[in-house]
Amino acid sequence: MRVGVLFSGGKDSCLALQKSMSFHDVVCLISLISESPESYMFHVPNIEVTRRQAEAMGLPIVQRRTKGMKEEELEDLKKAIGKARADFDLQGIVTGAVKSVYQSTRVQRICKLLGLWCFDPLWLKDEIELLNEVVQRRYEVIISGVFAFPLDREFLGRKLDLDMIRKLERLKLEYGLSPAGEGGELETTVTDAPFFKRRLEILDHDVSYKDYSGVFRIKEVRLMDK
Amino acid sequence: MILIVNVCSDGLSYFEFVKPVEDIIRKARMNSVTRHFLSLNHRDISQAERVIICGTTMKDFDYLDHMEKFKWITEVDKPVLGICAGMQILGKLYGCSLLERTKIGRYKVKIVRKNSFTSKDEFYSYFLNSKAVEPNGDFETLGESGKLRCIFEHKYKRFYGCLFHPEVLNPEIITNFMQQSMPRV
Repeated sequence: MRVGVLFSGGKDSCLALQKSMSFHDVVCLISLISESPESYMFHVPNIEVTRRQAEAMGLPIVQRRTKGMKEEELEDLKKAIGKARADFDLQGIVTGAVKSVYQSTRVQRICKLLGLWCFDPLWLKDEIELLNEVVQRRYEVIISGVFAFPLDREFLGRKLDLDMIRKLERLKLEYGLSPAGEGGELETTVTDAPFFKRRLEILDHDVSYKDYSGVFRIKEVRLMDK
Repeated sequence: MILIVNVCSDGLSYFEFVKPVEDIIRKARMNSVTRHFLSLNHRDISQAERVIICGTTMKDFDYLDHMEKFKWITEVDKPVLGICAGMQILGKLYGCSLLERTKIGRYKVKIVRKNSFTSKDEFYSYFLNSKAVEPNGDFETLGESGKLRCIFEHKYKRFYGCLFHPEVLNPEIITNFMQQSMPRV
């Protein structure tokens, strides 16, 4: 089956992408670039980097800008998926949804409307299991956004590794924090994975942070041979 | 041992519709084995104390073209829980009609007859459903969501089913089904 992957550039959409490669032909990525930092549906930090990630994987990407207003962005998502279906003859859509009934419901409805199969291969996956799988599969992942107490500036730009997973697990026990950020507590950006033909090297970035809310914004990257 | 029946025609759907049910059973420290309905054998069926037939994705109706592969269900005397597609299979085996009815998302379910799966009168559940089951004389309705009958019990056999996905918002429905006189590991 020819499938497109809803792609935010973070660990979940990359892992969903890699799992779907074992069963289907991934023919394109689809990204919504939200102008709202409080988007209901779409990962925000470094979404502009998705085009470079697509280049690194050797996959085409369909991008569409959205104002990020609650239901308007769904109309934009429907248009982006519709365009991808037409341009790449898609039969199915893959998402990295893990826990969000809100997100999953909206994508399922759009797929039903457009006659597409819908796959959520990470659905209800244990969050620590998910983080461990990302590390075991040798993804290079940085934390690119923090949006909850007690995640402070120190987390921004840090690599996701076994030490970080242990730290996040402790924060789950102490504060009830979702360790994989499924409640929007943190966002990640993937700079390399086994299915990347080239890796991303971050050349320039800035950090904005205030009161347990901050973003590691990638300003410039280059693609490096592996 | 609980037999989990996978009805997904696409391997990628296993992670979404079968693995979450396996995880609930594992966390409850129960033994289970998962088999695809096309590769089930007599040994799997005879060793099972209970059976859960999982759901599949909304475009997948392959199981309806292979109803002869589920005939064994009518011949066993074991508790069976059908989830979404699994309930459609149970209904179809007993002559219920399947009607085109789409319901996607989180909706309120009202209990209309007391049952052993939940002590609540109403709760929210997650639906990914495109076919309703029109019960005939063999099935009774236990719960409804709007106009959709969504929880069923067979009148004479220990067969139960729901058209929503309890693994998402109501895992206790699965654990209650498993723990009724099941030995712990």
